[in-house]
Amino acid sequence: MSNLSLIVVLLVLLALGYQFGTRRSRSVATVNPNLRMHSRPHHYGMMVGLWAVLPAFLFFCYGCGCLLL
Amino acid sequence: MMISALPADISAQSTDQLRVVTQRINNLANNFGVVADAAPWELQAAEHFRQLKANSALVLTALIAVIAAVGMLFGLLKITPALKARHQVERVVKGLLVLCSAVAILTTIGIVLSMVGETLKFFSYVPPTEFFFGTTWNPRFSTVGVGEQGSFGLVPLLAGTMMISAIAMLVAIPLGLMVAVYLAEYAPYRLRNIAKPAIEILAGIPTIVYGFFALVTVGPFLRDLGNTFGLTISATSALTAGVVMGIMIIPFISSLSDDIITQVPKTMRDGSLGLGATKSETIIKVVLPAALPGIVGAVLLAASRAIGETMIVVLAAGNSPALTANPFEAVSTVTVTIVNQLTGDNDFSSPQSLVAFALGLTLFVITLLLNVMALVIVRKYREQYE
Repeated sequence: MSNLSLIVVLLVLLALGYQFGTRRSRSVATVNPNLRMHSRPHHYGMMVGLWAVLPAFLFFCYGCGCLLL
Repeated sequence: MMISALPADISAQSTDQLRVVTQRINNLANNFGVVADAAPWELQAAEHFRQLKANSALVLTALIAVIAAVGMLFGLLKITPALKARHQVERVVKGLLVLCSAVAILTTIGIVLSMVGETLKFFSYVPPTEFFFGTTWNPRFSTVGVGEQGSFGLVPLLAGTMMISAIAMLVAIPLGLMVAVYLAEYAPYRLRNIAKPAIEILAGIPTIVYGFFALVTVGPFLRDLGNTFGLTISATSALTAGVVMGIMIIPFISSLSDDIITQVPKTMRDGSLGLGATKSETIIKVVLPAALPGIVGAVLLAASRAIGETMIVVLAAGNSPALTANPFEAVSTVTVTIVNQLTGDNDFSSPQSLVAFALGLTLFVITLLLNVMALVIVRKYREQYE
């Protein structure tokens, strides 16, 4: 797969992670009605997206560097 | 990995030859052209190399997919009411912001470092004293003769730069200040709203257009004007370039000074007028001195802009690097010389090319000093009346 399409896939993954994270944080909140969530739902969404994409992206940069040399 | 798969008689060669071979194979694998026909073993090696590359790309993709999936699962499972997700996200965003600002600073450092390196290489050919104090500029091109070194004297170029900048400032400071005073003190509100952006358009004109204007219109006009007075002014001269450059930097001075003059507190103006001073006395004796530090800062910024200006001078200053004090003759400047030294077929490791880096560094230091001076002056006196 070319590098550009990889990056596009990672961006899509970011959006997906955001969606999943937002949804899951809502369901977690409904399961524990007596506990207050620390952050707003979009924070959880963004966190999941970043966890999915950032390590993969760093590894991608590292791998590209290796392939170039 | 690739070298081990090469035929035995080739992999036994020295490292230098091996590097040439690998480069050829690399080019073949990437579909770049190579000199001469490719030997069958080379094509084979290129095919092998391409395979290896495709394989490693595949492995990379798979690994990235695994990491992304694990990361997402980990993130999803972490979600609990106690998790401080906002703090994590904010930390990442802060890191991103730091990275962005680091790019700007690191670029500056990179430019300076690369110039310093090349400049040191240049000084290994030509001693610094000869460069900084030499009064002739005649870099013979390396094709003329090996061992025959030209003379690299900075003084005529620096003199040309200073002369053109001085002429530009002579044009720009009075005009710019008058414009600023009129706009800030006398102009009616509606005229000011139209005129200020209109003047700022001057700063947006591409410098090549100014150069063209200087070459085609201003140069011949000045020559004819000189003829009627019995002066010989060549069409491409320091005067032409300086005048046009002065017009170019008017908006820098007028716009900044205008802002500063309007910032002078109204109480000072009222006090002066209340004591019986006329409007013009108030402007000259009270408003302008109060705004002076800002105006000096604006002028210095404009000067550093004038010193670094290239395109107008390339077209309109005549490009003759001779030491002269006559503004009606053609001169050359540091920037123009950099253009001349780096365009054309030149060996990039010859002193003829390397001198451009030394010139660039000199120019950079000069403009940097001017900018620092402007910033210090502006900062030191800015709050005096507030």
